[in-house]
Amino acid sequence: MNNTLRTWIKDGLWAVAFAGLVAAVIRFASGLGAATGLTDATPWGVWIAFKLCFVALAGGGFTLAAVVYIFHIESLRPLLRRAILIATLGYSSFVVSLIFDLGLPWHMYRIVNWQDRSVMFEIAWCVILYLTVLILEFSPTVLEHPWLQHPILQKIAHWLHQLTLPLVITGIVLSTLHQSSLGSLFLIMRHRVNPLWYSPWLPSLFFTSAISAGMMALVVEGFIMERWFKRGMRFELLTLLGKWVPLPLGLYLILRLSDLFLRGVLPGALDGSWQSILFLAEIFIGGVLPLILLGIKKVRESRKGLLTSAVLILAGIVSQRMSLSMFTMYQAEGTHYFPSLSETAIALAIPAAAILVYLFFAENLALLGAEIPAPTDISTLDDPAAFAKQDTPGRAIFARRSGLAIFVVALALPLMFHPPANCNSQPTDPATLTKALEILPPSLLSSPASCNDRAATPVTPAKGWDVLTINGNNANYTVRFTHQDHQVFLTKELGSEEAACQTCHHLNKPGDQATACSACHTDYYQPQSIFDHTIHETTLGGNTSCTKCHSSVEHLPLTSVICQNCHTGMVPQAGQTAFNMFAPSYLDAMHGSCLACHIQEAQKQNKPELALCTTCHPNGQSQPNQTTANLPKP
Amino acid sequence: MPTWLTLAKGPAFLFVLAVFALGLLRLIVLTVWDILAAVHRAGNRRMPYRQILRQTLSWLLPVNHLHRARPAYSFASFGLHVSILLVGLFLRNHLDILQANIGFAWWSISKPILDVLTLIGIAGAAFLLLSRIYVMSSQRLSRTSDYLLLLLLLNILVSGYLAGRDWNPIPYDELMLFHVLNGMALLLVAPFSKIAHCVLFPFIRLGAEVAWHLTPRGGSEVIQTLHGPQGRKI
Repeated sequence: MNNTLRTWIKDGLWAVAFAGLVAAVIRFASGLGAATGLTDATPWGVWIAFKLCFVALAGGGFTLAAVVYIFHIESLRPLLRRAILIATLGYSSFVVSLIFDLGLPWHMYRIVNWQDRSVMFEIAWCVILYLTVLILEFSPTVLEHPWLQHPILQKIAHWLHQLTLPLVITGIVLSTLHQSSLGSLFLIMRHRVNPLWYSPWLPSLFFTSAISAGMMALVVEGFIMERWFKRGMRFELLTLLGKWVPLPLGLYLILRLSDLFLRGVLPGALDGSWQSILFLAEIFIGGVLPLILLGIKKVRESRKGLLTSAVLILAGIVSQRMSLSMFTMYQAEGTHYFPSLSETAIALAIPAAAILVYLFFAENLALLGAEIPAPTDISTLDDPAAFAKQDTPGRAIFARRSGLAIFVVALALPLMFHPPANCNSQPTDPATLTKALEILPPSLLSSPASCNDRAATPVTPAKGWDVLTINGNNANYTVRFTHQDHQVFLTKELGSEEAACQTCHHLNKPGDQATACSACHTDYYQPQSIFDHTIHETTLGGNTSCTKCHSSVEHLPLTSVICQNCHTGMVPQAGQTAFNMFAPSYLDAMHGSCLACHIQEAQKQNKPELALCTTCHPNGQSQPNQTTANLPKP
Repeated sequence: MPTWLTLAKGPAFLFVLAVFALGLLRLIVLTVWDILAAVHRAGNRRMPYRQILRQTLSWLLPVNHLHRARPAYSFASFGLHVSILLVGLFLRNHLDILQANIGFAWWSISKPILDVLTLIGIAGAAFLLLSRIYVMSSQRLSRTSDYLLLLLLLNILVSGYLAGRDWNPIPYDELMLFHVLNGMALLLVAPFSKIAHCVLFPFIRLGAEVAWHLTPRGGSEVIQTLHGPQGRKI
């Protein structure tokens, strides 16, 4: 691999990371609803799926630690540092990803409250403790760097060295606990997990597959690092991993298939659906095939054979995690999950950043071989010409990365950020306009509520992150929602905070994605402005046209001429002095299009109940009865 | 909605705006970095910082520094700069677009004043373009990009002026599309061309002032300071 290719790959990783940074800002500024494709009905998405994969790939950390320190297989010790670094990065990715996924991550301190019935509680504690253990296990490697030779730091390194064995044992216990409890998470959502992936033995399946994935991740990483740094692979050790991986992998496959067989689900794998094909591919291509390949000594000890088997096994286990948690998960009726752009960007940026951190450590620490790469030789500085060309350290890197960042950020911003709805941003079709005027009931002509009035009311900006941008219908058309104002108001009205929360957060019905604003804001559907300023401005000649309608310098609706001045064909109804600019509300429009006919037909067919309110709204429902709404139109 | 308005209020404009703002910010960081690096390398402990700062500040308002030998050139250039800054930053319509894209804007200047300024700008840009073409000393110093950037400015000023006129002979929407596209092009090339001086000029000035006060051969002497006369490391 030459330098240009390395730089290009790094640039690519940085670009993904920068895009993720933009998405991260958007996610925290606007909230989960606007930034992701997640809803109340589908709260788990691509982030969870990736998280499960990060942890599975990090399985090499505790496996190698156990092999070297507990079983004393010293020959594998050279791989230990890399295994622990991969595990540290895997778990860090998990935690970073979790911070995005939690609605209010700053409430994380609440895990100090004991929850002996919560799997999540156990996972949270195990992950936090194990990440700490991993960082402590890896710190001695970092403290070997020549820049960190301060006596105090060396003292710390010495203590950490003394602590190795207790740390390793703690680490193995913690990761065993929570690798399996990640599987337990899915036991309580059996109704959503596809039967081919569900198993009451999921905890054991997660544990055994994490061991295999961790070992194979080390193999693949070894091959990549050999291409990248031209050193550090230790092929004979990787072959050893290839020799032993059939043990956990075989156990995983036997457990999985025998459980499906015993519970009688296995025939479902042959029904020809895409899920069954995915399942078969996962088992045979990602499990049985590499098992056979690794069983043949000649294949195992060839570079291509080992790499192929490792990649297949990783693909199989990643597929198992992602299928279980995302692809094959049942969605509630009427819901649909597809990750949004910013969600995907964050999901990809986290592993990209982890790889960059890995490369940074591999370049600067004795990770791959024994030697630390030598710093730049400063003896060349004696030549004045060479000196003049020399950049300040990091200047060239900063120039390159910041140049890249500008374009990535500038591209990501308009793609991911949807500004809040603007009153004038939706132009009205002129035909709708005329039609709306025809059916407008006179009572509404004096209605003051309009888009313009609402825009004139200043919205007090809330502090912190209290304003959420809600992408209501997932239509990329967002509104600002002041959460804290709602909370404070409702708490005052209802007397308790609990009741306030429940008012909005426990109204979801099956198939509902979120509680609609209109559930409380009954004026949600009040008259809308239908006067299209842009169309008028354009037709009348752009900037020069202002004075054609507005009489004074102040260009307000009040200073404009009335519509009939130009639209001479428009004649007000009796008793009406002027047109206004409001279309009827949703409710009035609906009534307008149904009621007249209902009353007419009631008389014609002599069925007075047709004109009664209760015919369409039985039991005082605010929404019309579904059955009548489905009747054919007259 | 006409194309020009969609463009001006849409994601393409946000992209251009982000490249413009972040690109210039990056240039400021790099320029300051370079100045600091130069000062550090020169190792001059008696740098007259107060004088440098005073000079830099005095150049912020270049009225004092109008070129006496070429008054016409100076006035044209000054007029063009004032015109672009005031019309660009304080025209109601421009601020509306800013409001639509980033959610805030500031006060505006009334249109008749800006109309006059636009005319001054057009005259200035035209004069500078012509002098680049016909005055030999300017011509020798000019690169292709210098002509193109002036032409771009002239396009923007003229199309913007025409769009506000009753007697404008060109269809309004097409003219505005031209205006918006040229404006976006200007913002987009700003961080990669000499237009960058719109925010860099105090820093360029600072760099120049600092450079005046570097000791001769400061670069090689600093090596001697660091490494000793025989190249021995201290």
